[in-house]
Amino acid sequence: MEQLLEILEDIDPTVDYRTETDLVGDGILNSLSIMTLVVEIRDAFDVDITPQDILPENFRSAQAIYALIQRRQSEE
Amino acid sequence: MRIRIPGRTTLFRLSKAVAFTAVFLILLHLLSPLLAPKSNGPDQGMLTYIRGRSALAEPTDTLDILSIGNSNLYASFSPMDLWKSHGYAAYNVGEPMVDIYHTATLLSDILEKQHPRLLIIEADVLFQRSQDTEYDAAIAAAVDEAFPAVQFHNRWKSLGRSDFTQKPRNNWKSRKKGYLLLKGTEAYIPSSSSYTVKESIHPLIAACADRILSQCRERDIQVLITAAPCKAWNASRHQAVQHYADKRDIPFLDLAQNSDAYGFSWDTDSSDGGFHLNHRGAQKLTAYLGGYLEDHYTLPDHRGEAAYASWDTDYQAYQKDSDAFYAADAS
Amino acid sequence: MNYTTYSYLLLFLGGTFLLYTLVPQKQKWIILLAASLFFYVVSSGPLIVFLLGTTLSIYLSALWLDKLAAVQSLVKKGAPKEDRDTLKRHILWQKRAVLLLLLLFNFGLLLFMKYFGFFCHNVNWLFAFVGLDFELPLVKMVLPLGISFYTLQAVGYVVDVYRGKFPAERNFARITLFLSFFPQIVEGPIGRYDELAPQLYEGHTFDYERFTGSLQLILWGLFKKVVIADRANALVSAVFDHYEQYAGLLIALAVLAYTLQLYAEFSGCMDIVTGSARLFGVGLSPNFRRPFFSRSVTEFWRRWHITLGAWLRDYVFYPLSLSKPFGRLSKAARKHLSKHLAASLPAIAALFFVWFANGVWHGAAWKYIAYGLYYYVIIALGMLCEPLFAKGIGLLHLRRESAGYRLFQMLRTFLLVNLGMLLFRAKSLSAAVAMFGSLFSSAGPSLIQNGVLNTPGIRLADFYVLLAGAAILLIVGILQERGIGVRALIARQPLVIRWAVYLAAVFVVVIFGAYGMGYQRVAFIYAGF
Repeated sequence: MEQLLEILEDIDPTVDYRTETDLVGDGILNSLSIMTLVVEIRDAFDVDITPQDILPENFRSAQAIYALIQRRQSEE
Repeated sequence: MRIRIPGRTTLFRLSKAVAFTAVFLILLHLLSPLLAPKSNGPDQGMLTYIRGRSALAEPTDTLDILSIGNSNLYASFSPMDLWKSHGYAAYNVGEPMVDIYHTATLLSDILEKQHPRLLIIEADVLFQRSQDTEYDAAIAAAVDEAFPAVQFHNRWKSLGRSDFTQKPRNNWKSRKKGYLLLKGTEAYIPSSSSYTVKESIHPLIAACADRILSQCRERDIQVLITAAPCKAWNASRHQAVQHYADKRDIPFLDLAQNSDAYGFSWDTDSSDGGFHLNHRGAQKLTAYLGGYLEDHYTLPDHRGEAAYASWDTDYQAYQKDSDAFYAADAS
Repeated sequence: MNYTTYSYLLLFLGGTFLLYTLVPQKQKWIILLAASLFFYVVSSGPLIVFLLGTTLSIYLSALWLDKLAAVQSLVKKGAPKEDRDTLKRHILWQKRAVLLLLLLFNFGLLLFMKYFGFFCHNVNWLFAFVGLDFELPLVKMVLPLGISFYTLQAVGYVVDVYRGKFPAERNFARITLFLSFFPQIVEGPIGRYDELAPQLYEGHTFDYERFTGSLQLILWGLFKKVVIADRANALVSAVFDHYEQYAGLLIALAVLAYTLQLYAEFSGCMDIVTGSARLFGVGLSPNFRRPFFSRSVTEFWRRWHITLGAWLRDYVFYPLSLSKPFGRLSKAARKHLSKHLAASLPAIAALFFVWFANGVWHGAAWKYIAYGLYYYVIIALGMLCEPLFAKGIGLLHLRRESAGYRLFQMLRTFLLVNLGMLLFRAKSLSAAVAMFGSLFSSAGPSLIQNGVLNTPGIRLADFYVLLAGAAILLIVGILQERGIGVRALIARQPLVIRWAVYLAAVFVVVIFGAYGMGYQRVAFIYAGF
């Protein structure tokens, strides 16, 4: 989780990712920054994230993103 | 109780919708006299030149031949020539690119004042198709007829104070009796390709033409269909019109197909490369048509009658324009 | 059948709505299907075979994909891991083959219909250039109505089934309705199966509020299209079609007028079709969200033609930037370049294909390709230089959220978008370049002549209507930006005021509409793509 928060803070340091629960709706993450994020996550956690995972509900909050990573890790 | 409440609200809402529509239509109706043109002339802010409406200015019961159609009619048929040669009182009721529905409305207005013996329909109007579906053109014409405010809505740009006070008057006259003298010569070389599209008269257009025919039957007006030369004319159109005319027992004189009979030539007789006849072409066609009318109909010769004295003065002006055409064409 | 004609609004829409209301709930969708097929045949005649061919192709391939997925899940249980993996690979391979086949068929059809002429033209030019005396025949093809839009919608459906988002539709008639639904067949919005289809199939009973709301939306759309867009058209075509005769501010005026025309027309059409669909209780995806309040070009494209952008995002951008070659690109960048680049390089590379596709989708001409790449360059530069911008803003002590800075961003975006529009509307790429050059010249007729504004193609009175129309759009836009719904605002007023507003709106369309004698009906621009 800490590693994920680091990556997120790289994208926009002004956001408090621990409390923010609507990253997509509030416009903090858009399709471009989600892509940058996913590329970083794939490298950092060595998981496979596919286009069908790119749904708003998977990127709403840091918790949601982390849950996605864990789901993918358990599938490997 | 619970069952009746929805019924009531539905009824209430339905009546509200009806009331709203009624208020709209009444206001539209009230707006019509303001937006409708105050004269039948072209100076009333209407966007196209409304030549055909000039027939409304002619004195009651003076016209014996009315011809209807679009630009193909008013550029190819010259009533003044017919006056000179036969003394017939003919008039062109033609507007640019007009559809048959608007033509029928205008004709009805004119027939309130005139009792002609012969109606000539120039066939191109039967193929004047709408940019949209034909149904749309028919609805649009019906709406235009019911609410002049819609037809003349673009006049908002030229509304003046007089539009609020003045009553409409039909006092704009055409000295050439609805004929448009087209200058210049641009040859047209008919393509030799045998490729033809199958064309037919749209049922809605045919139905409207039928209404015109029955109107004529009621008033004892004979009907003749003609076709002037035009690059859009083809064998398929000829067949369609022939078929239509035969079924209704109306004569059809194809002046495009037998144009050799009166010495017509695409080299010299078109003003714009085959779209319209120039004055030379129109005079040739009219001379031939005059002979045909003389052979097939009994029409009165009004030359010398006091009521038609103005036709002679109009002819003199026409003669001048005609001479100018040939002088310019020769140089 | 044009959406602004009497025959559509009164006869077709009115008749379909009446039937839809009268028929029992379960059969309502059949009315929509019959109406849609009728609409298509009236508009495009026998070309409906193309639509039906595409429908059949997605129907069959989605079922096939479903079957393969079912086999996969059956075997999963109990089998040894090695067998499972081989089978998994085998099925994945088959699924990919099915998808590829479908993509080839549908995009092949679209490419052939739309771009064959363009291709021949350029090949002929090349032959002539190298001195070969040989010409491919130039055939002008009549495109099936809406092919650019329904092809995307069709492919999206199958890809979603492939991705396992939802199971395939088993009823061919229903899938036909999904693809041919008449309000969106001409120029979108490009719908998603899971959002649109359920709404189409469940019957909706008459609802008075929905009914009046739909009509109000249609009226608003007619105002945009008939009063504003069709009037602007005269000015726009006068200048763009004879651009050699104009220069300087007149060109600028024409570009602004075109931006206004395209927005009023496309978003107006969306209002008409959204209102039409809402009559039947069907909500279409929004295609516009006041794009001219955008602060960046990226944001503009999230608010302009939204469904096209979203389609390209989901079916081109995501799969490309998550694909293996793009991943390797990122790794290489991490090794040799900066961290910022490593993260954004796959996105930037994938964006090239997105914008190329966007340009090409609009039509077969070099100017459209240039149009797509124009936006690509702006966006890619913006991403690459983001760290620089951040530094610059810090140095200048600018506050990103201050009103002044936001206004500056909006104006900057507006300017860039207008340049894009110049490229989009110009007769050709070379015409666009020439027009851009003459923007800064003062040759040709001037904007003010004899103390009067000189507007080619339209009268001064028309110009004032355009200005008033643009002002109304702006005011409504500002209200909506602040979260105030204009129709809700009107609905709260007493009956007399409400009716006065609605009547005024109808009369504005009837009187100030650019239609009838002296006007050619202007076909919807996007319907030509």
